[in-house]
Amino acid sequence: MDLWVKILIGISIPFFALVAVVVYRLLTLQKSLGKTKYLTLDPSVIHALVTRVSKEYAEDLDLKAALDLLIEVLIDNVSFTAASFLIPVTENSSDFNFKSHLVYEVPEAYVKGNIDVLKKYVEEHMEVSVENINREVEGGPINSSSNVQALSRVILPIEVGLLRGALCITSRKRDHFSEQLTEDLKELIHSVSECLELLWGVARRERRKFKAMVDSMRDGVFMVDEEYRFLIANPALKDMLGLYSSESVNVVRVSSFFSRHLSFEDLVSEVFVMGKTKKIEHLELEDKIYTLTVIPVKVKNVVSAVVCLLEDQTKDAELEEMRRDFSAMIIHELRSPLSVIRGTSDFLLKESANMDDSQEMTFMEQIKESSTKLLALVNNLLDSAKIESGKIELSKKMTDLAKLIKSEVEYYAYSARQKKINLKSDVEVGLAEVNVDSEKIQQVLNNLISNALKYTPDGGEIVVGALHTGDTVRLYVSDTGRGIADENKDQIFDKYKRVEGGSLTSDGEKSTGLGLAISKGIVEAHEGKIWVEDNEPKGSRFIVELPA
Amino acid sequence: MKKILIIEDDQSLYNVYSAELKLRGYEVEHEADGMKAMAKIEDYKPDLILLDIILPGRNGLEILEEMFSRDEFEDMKVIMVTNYGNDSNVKKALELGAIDYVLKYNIVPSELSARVAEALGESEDTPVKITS
Repeated sequence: MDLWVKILIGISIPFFALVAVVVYRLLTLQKSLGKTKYLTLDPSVIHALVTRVSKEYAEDLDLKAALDLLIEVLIDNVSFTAASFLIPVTENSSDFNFKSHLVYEVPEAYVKGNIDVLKKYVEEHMEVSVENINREVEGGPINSSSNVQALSRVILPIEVGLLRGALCITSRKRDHFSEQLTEDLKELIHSVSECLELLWGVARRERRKFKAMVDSMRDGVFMVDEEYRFLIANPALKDMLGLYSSESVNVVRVSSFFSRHLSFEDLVSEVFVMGKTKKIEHLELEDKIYTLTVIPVKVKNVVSAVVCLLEDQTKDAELEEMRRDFSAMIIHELRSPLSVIRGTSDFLLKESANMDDSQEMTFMEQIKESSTKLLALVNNLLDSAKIESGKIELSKKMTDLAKLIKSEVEYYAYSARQKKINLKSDVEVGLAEVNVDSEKIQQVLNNLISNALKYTPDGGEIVVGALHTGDTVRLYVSDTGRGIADENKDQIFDKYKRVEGGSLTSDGEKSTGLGLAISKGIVEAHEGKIWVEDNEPKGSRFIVELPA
Repeated sequence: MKKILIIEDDQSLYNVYSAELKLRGYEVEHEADGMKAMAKIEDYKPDLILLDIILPGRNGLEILEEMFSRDEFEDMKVIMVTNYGNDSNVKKALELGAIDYVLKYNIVPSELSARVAEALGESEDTPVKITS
């Protein structure tokens, strides 16, 4: 839901900004109006108009609606026969909207004449060719028997930042537009345009910010109006639908994308009718799992559009599955030593009379061994939980790594000899002490060396080394085991990722994979790095890099 | 003497299960490697098999499937002995032909030998406590 808070803030900020600008603009406008002497238009009319235009315009950035409003005001205050405008449908389009407000009954030729005059003006001044005109006429009505003619006219450019069309006011009277009235009209349009320009500028900037935010989202975001027109469609959505960024999203594309699970049109119309958010989870589409949320966008309590959010939750689902597998594995690993402890102790209690001493000793030992395993596993789980919640605490002190490595190698010497593995150390002479939590670094070395012992076949070699490189110290443990495939080199440090075939050691012993995840947590808490490389000529080399 | 084959990779568990079963008068053999399990079954011809699921090399359910696909093992008695108690594993093992399914952490050796006796049709002679 965070996202929607963001979007709502994104939408409301431009509105607040617009209101602020409008108030400021009105104050300055009032001042300038005070200086200008209007003969035919009362300053309060302009004031009221600008207020209305600002308010309405702020809501839907619609030049056509703003012009309609302007003409309405003109009709109430100035006498004329028709006021018409011609503006492009969208910026740089060759399709234009023509609208004429007729105050009196006129013949078709009157309207036609207005269109021609405006078309000529626009083509000349805007340097475009007007190809299609959507015509709209209000008032009048048009009456073919009327013989009214446009005997005087004034053409006013509509400039909001740049030329965006023209307004033509005509009268059936000759010499209707005095020089003063023409000036007043120009001044009026100019004031309104200036206000619109400011509003437009702010709105555009805010829109750009909003678009940048929506475009950078990894979830698909789109907005649809009641006629299934796509008002917003971000690149992530196009990507999900398999479209190129230059292609446009339409309802057919989206409907067919969802068609296996739902009717997109029905869903959208339901949200329009009910005005409530709908969320549809676990949509399996083209090997991915999505959640679709459809949110009504209300303007004055009426749903004017719906915003849809399409979240790709494949990764979350995969992670969830890995967590489940991990839990199942841990449960199994906890039950194994418990089964031995419980079974063996029960047997000893019941049957010790039927056993010789050496058999009894074997059973006692296997109870001890299993409880040690269990303890180690529980400790690992606790460590890993600490690391995951970021609660790992280090008690650093200056540590002699050469000494630490020596004692580790001695500790594992017996196990190595049993497997006929040559375990040796290779520490750079004169290696300076480093400030680390020595117990935790020892735990890392324990993990790495015991892993190396597990995965290295009899007769192999394990080297534990340390050296300076620049301002870091590198510890490494190399082995002559079977090595780690490139695609698994990162995954083995992730406790939830099971590496195929990787959980069985050379002697068939099972591994939880917790050791490496813990080691990574410890090393990263030291602001160091841990990774694995191929060892030459064979096996793996685990490298720990710590700040010196 | 009835012959029991324990297919189990945990040496400690094998130790205690085999000690219990030998005390009850069974002959017991062991196999820890999933890959060698079929050969061992053919070779030893046990009366009953205690079969683990997670095994090195080969999964216990795969072994079960292969064995029951062969006519000569049609009547083999198999008890699954595992720590994986999920419903789908239990269902699958019983569908494939296992006669019982026990959880290691939930059963002590004396209970296991009782289940073995029951499976071999000897339970009336040796009354023992049966766990659920």
